Amino acid sequence: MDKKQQKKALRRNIKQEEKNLKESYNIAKFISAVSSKNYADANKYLRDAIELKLQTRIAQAVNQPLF
Amino acid sequence: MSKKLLPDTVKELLTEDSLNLIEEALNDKVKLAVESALTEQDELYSSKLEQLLEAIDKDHATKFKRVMSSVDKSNTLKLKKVIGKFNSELNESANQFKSQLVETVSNYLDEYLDEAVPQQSILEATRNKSAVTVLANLRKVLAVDSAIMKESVKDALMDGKTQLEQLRSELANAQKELKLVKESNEKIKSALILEQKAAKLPPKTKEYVTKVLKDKTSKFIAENFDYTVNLYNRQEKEQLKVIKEQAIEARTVKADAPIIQESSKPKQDTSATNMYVQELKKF
Repeated sequence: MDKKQQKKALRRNIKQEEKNLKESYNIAKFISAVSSKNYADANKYLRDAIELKLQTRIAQAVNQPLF
Repeated sequence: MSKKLLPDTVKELLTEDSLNLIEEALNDKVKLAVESALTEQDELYSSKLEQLLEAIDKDHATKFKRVMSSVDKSNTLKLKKVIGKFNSELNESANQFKSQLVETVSNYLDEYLDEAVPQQSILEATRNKSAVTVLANLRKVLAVDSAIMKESVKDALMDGKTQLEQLRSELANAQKELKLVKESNEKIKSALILEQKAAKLPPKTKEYVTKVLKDKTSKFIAENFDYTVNLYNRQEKEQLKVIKEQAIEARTVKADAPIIQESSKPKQDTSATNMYVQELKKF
């Protein structure tokens, strides 16, 4: 693996960690909003969390080679 | 009081009654003395006891204070430790609980998404999308669009292609024919020009010029006709001159004798012409 590929993999990992952190933050906020009966915010945070999860899955699928 | 304790002289002097009286008096006095002594003793003891109690109280109070302060300190320290531990435990466990809860919810969402949108479907969708993109790029590269993919348009295109190929071959044939026609036209033209120009020339010159210029183009003929004729004439003259000199040198008759030029000239002329023609052919 050359340097360019290593940098690319590192950047991908950092991006994935950021996404995971954002996802955890959204879920925590969702639980907090549900606890305080703030359902509008809860909906927003849950949607963001699900969108991130779907994005991660799509990214995984896209990274697989076509042929 | 028994009489045995008293001396004999006193026994004789005192009667039983007096002895009894004395005894009673003594008893009373002793009783009083004892009572007073007891009272004094009580007072003394009570004062001493009070002092002792005070001292004991003071001592106990100081000791109790010390003990209380040390107990307080110890309890405070223990309580502080307990509070710290409780806080840390509370925070840690709260954080742990929070992370566990978040992870559980995340896992639940993952499971739900797996059921609702299977990974295989996402994979197929992304592959489909990638394939569409690749196909679009290929279409761009190969210049194939949706109109070309229709059957009717395809037939029309194929027909157009065959027509184009047919027309192309026809054009090639026509071009060949045109070339041939042009060539023949050029030949005719050059022959015509040559004929026109050589019409006024003497037969020998005409024959020579025709021989030399018959395969040339009309342009070449137009440009070089006069030059060729002039060249031929000059060569002819030179040849004649040389032959004439040779004849003069080789003659056996007198200079006055008539020279029959007409009979010998044609033969010389033909040989000279042939030589000239041969020389010109080289060019």
